[in-house]
Amino acid sequence: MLFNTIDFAIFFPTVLLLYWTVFKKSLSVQNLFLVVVSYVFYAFWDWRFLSLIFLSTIVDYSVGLWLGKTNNLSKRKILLGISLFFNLGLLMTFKYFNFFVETFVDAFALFGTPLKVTSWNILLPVGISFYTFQTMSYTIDLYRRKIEPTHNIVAFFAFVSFFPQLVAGPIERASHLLPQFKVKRKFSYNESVDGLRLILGGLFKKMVIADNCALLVNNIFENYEVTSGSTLFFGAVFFAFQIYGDFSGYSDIAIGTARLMGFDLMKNFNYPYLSQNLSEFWRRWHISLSTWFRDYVYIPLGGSRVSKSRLIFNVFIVFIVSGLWHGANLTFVFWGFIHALFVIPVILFFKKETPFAKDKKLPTISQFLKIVTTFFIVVIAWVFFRSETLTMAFSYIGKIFSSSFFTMPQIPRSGIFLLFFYMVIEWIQRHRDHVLDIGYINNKWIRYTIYYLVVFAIFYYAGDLQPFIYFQF
Amino acid sequence: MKKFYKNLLIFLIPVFVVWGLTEVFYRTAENNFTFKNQRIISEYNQIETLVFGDSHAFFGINPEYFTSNTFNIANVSQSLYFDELLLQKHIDSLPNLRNVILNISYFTLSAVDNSSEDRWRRYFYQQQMDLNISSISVFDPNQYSLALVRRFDKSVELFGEYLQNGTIVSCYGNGFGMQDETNIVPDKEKISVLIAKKHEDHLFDFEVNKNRLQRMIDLCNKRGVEVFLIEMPVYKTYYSLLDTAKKEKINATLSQLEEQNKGVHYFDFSQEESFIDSDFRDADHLTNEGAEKFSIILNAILQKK
Repeated sequence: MLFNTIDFAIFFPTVLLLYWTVFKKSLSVQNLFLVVVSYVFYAFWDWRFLSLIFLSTIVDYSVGLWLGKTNNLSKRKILLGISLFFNLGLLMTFKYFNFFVETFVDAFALFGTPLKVTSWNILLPVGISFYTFQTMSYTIDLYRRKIEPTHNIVAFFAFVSFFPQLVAGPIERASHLLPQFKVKRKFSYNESVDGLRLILGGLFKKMVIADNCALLVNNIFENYEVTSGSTLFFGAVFFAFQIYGDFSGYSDIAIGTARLMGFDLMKNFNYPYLSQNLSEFWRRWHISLSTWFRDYVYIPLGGSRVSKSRLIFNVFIVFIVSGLWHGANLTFVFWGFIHALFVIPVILFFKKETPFAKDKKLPTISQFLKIVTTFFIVVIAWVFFRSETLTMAFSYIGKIFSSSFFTMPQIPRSGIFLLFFYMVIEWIQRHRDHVLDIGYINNKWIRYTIYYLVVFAIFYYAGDLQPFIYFQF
Repeated sequence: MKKFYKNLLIFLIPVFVVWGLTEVFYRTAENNFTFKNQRIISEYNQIETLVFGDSHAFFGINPEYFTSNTFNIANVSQSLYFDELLLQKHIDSLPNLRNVILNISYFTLSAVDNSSEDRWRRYFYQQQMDLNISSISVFDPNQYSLALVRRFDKSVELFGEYLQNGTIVSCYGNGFGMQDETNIVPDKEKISVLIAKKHEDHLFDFEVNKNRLQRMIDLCNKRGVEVFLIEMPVYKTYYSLLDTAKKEKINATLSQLEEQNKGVHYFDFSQEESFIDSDFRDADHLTNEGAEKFSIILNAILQKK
């Protein structure tokens, strides 16, 4: 069930009404209700894969209980190993099996030994990378004794399957989300209104920005061989906004939906295209994933408290694994590699970026140049993310940096205007929680005019319905 | 919480009003679907030749130039899936039907059911042409609101057209599509490249649509109706850009159907020499003049058989 469909427009208000009325009295019943509706929500894609979520939940709940009972380090390691083996095993089987087999075969072919191995026709379960990472964070935190194991199985099931963030995050930590299932939720008028604002803003990002950019992007990337460098450059820019609108739009709707039910999900995007360097970009883009990798990969590897060469190694490892998390293709690995390449100098040589002053209407020239440079690097890296093969990506970038870059791009000017206008809005709202966080505007009529303009834009300028990109990860 | 629900409902009132008005518009204003449905029913006893197919047939086969009483039930992006349902629905009510013309485009045989082209159309076929669309589940809420399945900007555009012309029907009484003769693509070479690319689905599996065609042929055979499988004229550059292997497979499939079935005739007009540049509106559609020329040729064939 997609957030931007009529199915969800019927499903969610019904769930919300029942949640705050019929199931309000008992916390356990309310949690059980959330588990049931979350499973129904997921079943709209493929009910068969519900068994994977169920098994992942049972395994990690049981491991959690055993971890809580033993202080024996070897046993604790074995228990953590079971959890990691099971969750990573799911990922390896359903997401990476064919990738590794094919890479293995290609590697042998390179040395003149052709192998005949049949790859499996495996369907990728929606959201598998998200919920496995979420459950793994629970067992790792238990192992590190950062949290206590839960004995409330219904709450744990609800934590793993919570429908707003089940298929595309934010990837929540048990320490933040699980306790929220154990206390009675209270309806808050202001929080609910803000939840609606988040949903409205998210729908705008997804349906107006991302879906319209998608049409242009698909056309440009499909015909990149016969397209000018300038158009290809803007094709990559449009993709940058497509993936941003798509994913941050989804996250906003997820956070808003959860907020309407009295939950607080972590912020996943914080105006990433206003970043002044790549390191800052990763503190603003897909925050729940980048902090996951920071806490569970980068820091265990030694983090930044190591020698420079080891630090460089650690950063490369984190970004390459992060690239691989996005998809089983070398293009994603290379995308991660590029980011690592530009993050390392920032970590080594620049300690802190200058924050934007609240009272300044415009950024300084230095800030502006840094934003533009960072955006340019990010855009070029996105070409690898969007391309089907490395050859295509290099060819695409090669064409951008050709003489045809200086020709007039064949793109709709209205598209560029819309994106520029949107970035101006983001700049104005840069210190606010989200782009439609306009509760500070006292005049009710101005607020309502903005809401209706956004609603109108969603209905009138929505592009053709496109699947959310991050569902494939 | 009451205050929240109350304010939310008040906020949504204009949205619901616009939705309601759009729904009323779609339910009351006559469109191609309702118009064609009414016309075919009212002419059940007269129709001798029935034309099926997509926009190529809708704009390219004009019943006016046929000697037999002909009705064009083709429509824009109408796939074989809908052609079959329409034939099944109406054939028993057409006592004088002698010929069925089926336009087969480059993408017809490889078309998959429930494509993006069908996304909104299937609801209109179900609601306004009374077809039983099996892919629409009883739990699908879209079937209850036509306003929800079409893009809002398209609805506004249609409403504007309705206010201006008093109708949104874009075909004549015989089902032939109305064309704006001023809207002819000047650079047919360039459009051919784009359209050929758009139509290239790289699919070679014709099984589903071949079986569908066979069922339609069987249905016609039982009632002594002749079937004419037609590949319509297309612009030369467009044709040259299409996959040769696929074109050959289409040819072989249709020839096989012709050979294996009595009363089936296959004609490939895709590169008919008598069609010149000015007969084409774009890469793959005929102008009114082109349609006249083609309909006369087709009528002559029908008369001979």
